[in-house]
Amino acid sequence: MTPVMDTELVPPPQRLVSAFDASGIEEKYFGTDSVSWWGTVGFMVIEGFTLILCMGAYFYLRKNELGWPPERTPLPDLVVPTISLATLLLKLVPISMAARKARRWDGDGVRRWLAITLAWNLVNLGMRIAEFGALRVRWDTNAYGSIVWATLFDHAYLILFDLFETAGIALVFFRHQETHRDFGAVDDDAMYTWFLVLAFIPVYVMLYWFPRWT
Amino acid sequence: MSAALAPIPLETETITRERDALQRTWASEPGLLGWLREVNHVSIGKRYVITAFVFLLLGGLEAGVMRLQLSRPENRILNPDSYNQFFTVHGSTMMFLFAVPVMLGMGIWLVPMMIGTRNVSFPRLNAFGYYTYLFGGIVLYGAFLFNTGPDAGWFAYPPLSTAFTPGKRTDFWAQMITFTEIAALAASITLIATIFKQRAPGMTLNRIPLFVWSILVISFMVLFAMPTVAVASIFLALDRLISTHFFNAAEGGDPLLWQHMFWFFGHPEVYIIFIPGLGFVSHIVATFTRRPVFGYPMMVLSLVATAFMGFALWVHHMFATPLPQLGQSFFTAASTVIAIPTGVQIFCWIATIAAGRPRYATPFLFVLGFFIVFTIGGLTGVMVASVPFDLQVHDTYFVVAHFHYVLIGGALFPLLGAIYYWFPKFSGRLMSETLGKWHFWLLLIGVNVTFFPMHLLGYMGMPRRVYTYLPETGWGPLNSLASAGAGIIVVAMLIFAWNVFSSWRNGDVAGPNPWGADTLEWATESPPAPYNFAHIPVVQSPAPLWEASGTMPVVTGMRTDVREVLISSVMDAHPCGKHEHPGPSIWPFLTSVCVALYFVPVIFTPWGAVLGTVAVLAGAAGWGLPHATSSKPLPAPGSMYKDEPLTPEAAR
Ligand code: HEM
Repeated sequence: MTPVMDTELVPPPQRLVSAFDASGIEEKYFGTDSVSWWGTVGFMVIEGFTLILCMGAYFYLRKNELGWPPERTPLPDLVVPTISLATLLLKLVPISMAARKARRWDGDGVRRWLAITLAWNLVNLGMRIAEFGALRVRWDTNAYGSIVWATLFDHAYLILFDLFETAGIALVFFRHQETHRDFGAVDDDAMYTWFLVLAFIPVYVMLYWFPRWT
Repeated sequence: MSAALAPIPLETETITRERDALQRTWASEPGLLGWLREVNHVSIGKRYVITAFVFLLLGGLEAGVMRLQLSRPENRILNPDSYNQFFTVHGSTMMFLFAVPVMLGMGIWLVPMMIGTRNVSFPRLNAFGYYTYLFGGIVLYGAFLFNTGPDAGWFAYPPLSTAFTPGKRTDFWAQMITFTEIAALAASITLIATIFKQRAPGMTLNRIPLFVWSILVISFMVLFAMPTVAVASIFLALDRLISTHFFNAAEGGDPLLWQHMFWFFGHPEVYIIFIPGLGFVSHIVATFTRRPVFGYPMMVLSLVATAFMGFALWVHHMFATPLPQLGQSFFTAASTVIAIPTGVQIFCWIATIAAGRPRYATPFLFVLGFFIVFTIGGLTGVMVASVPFDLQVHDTYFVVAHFHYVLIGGALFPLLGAIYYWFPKFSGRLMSETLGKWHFWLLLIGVNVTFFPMHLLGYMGMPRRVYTYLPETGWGPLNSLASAGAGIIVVAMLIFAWNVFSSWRNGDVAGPNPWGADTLEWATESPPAPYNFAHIPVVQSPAPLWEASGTMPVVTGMRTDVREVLISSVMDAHPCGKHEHPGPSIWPFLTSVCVALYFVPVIFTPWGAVLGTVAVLAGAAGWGLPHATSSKPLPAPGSMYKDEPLTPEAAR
């Protein structure tokens, strides 16, 4: 068995020459030149798309019913969800402040604002749990109930994971010596929080207002 | 960047010293624990590919048993119930456990070498993806062994998959989907970041190898296709487990919602499977005609166009459902239009071959096989894109013939060609050409003998998914022929297996670049060192190894004592940063176990979700905070990266 290669086609052995000296280049911790930014954006795309799918399914199922919510199903409450949305929006303040401090390598500032964010996250979680009651329908009542629960649950998972991520970063900042990369993580966390909060606005409109308009 | 700098030749001593240091830094750990902690893309990619081939073998065995059963009328090898399980497990295995993972695995294995970097961007996420995929496969086959294999077809249409399949069979199917989709998503994110940010300096967008383009394109498709099927399969599982009504028409749900969601994933899935095949073909054509593929920009644009159009076709799987007339016309038109970008690529390859002096080595033969088989599948594809024709052949063996031609032609042939082509890089040894040619010709004949008669069986009215048929139908002879063809395929694949096995042990030693190819992976050793390149190459043309004139421009000044990679800009691959990669870790494996603790118990009780959430969060904690448990405090910011000036704030 002979290899089919054409020996004279193989390039001659190569001599290595230095064409670029990378010793002056440093690691970047913020924005598009840090790979973790790309990871965060990737997860945002995936999670954003699952929300869009839930919303698509919601409107698809809408066409099967004459009224919406379907007969004998009450309208969802408006007060609790609105408070929930407001608390979500408020969360943007501390996390954005934390990110701002992070970009200035201000460890104490980050600690201060992260603590507030973390506490506020618990408020968000509490409000979300209350929100399930405000749907005023069970997941197994009808397809409407199933899809509103699924959509809200999907978003609740984002809140849960965000809480967890923030807690993890906070743990590093409070209990350990933080590194440059941890400052970058605060920034990514803030970006993720913005995504999660803004993504809730269309969901909120769909779940609580759309049924009132149709 | 580099132009201003006069190239400085590197001393042999320096090179050896750096190699030794890199070897220490990047080496894999020994033992089982080392195996589980592995994060190197070469190892993980290899595992993906080998595991996927094991699933190909299993799926192939199932196909063989089905063909045996159908070889004559009223056969009794399988009963109706086991036949249902066999075709469902065969289809699901081929699509979810073989075709997609094998392509992503090839990407994980090849992409970093092709773009000139040391590892993928998220080595641990990458390892996590592998284990999650593996567990998905184990779950499916574990269930199958206990006669709980899914039996509602690989697309599990409700209400068949809800109201009419009690027991746990479909639940195992739905969870297998979730596992494999999470794995595919992890791989895609990793690959996108790697391709965008870790290309060697100078590898501008128009110098990216075509296979890398194809992987980039399918990774984006995965980002949108996989969540769709994951959400759908979760809805399905919820309908079955906690009585939601997504697909239950009696309570305002809609079975067609499932079909829309499934095919919004399912059709792009076909492209996810065969676009990397197109990438393989481009490389093999270039190398064996010894000229760059004709029309590079057109090739890239066709890939991208195929990806976009792939998402606009799904409804053509649903022509037999009540759809608005206008919708039918639109999707017919879209389904026909997608033939254009594929046609463009085929013509570009033909032009390349016509202008070159092709060498008919085994990888090239498989490309020719791809042309033949895939084109036949494409032609019947244009036929079924027309609604009136589709209504006649829907759910008959004509469709079975069509999609096997597309999948085997578009994915299996290029993949096997790719295995012959890259095997020297994989193992350091060449595969036997003689055996390779036997494999090729037998497979080509076998596939046509198996699947061509199925077109005719479809015309004769033989429905798919029937476990047997009566002698009076007259379907016997053609079915016997098809089964004989399957026998030929088995022989061909046995030759292939033997070839892999014997060549791995004592094939001819390949050297770095046995085919005289042009892309960067051939500048590494065969098999590659764990760091791939002792020095990151600097790319100055689309075919770096063909333009090289005795000297190879490289990057210097990278650290060798930590796992450091170079980060470059998205468009023109200008070096703009560095990144220190994490080393081996057990947490990807453990987190994957935690994911299994989520998805398997929920099959039996909703409380599994609670247990699972806790488990997954625990896994994530262990993963995210390894240094939180290490007793040694980390250095203050700044001091860790010695050559980095401290900012005034940080110094404060
Ligand atoms: C290599 C030889 C192969 C043979 C002999 C074979 C044979 C078969 C047979 C007999 C069926 C069942 C037909 C029916 O009863 O409706 C089937 C279904 C199927 N096969 Fe294959 N197959 C092969 C390879 C592949 C490959 C490589 C793929 C994908 C990459 C694939 C994907 C499928 C799918 C998706 C189905 C449909 C399952 C369903 O109806 O739910 N097959 N195949």
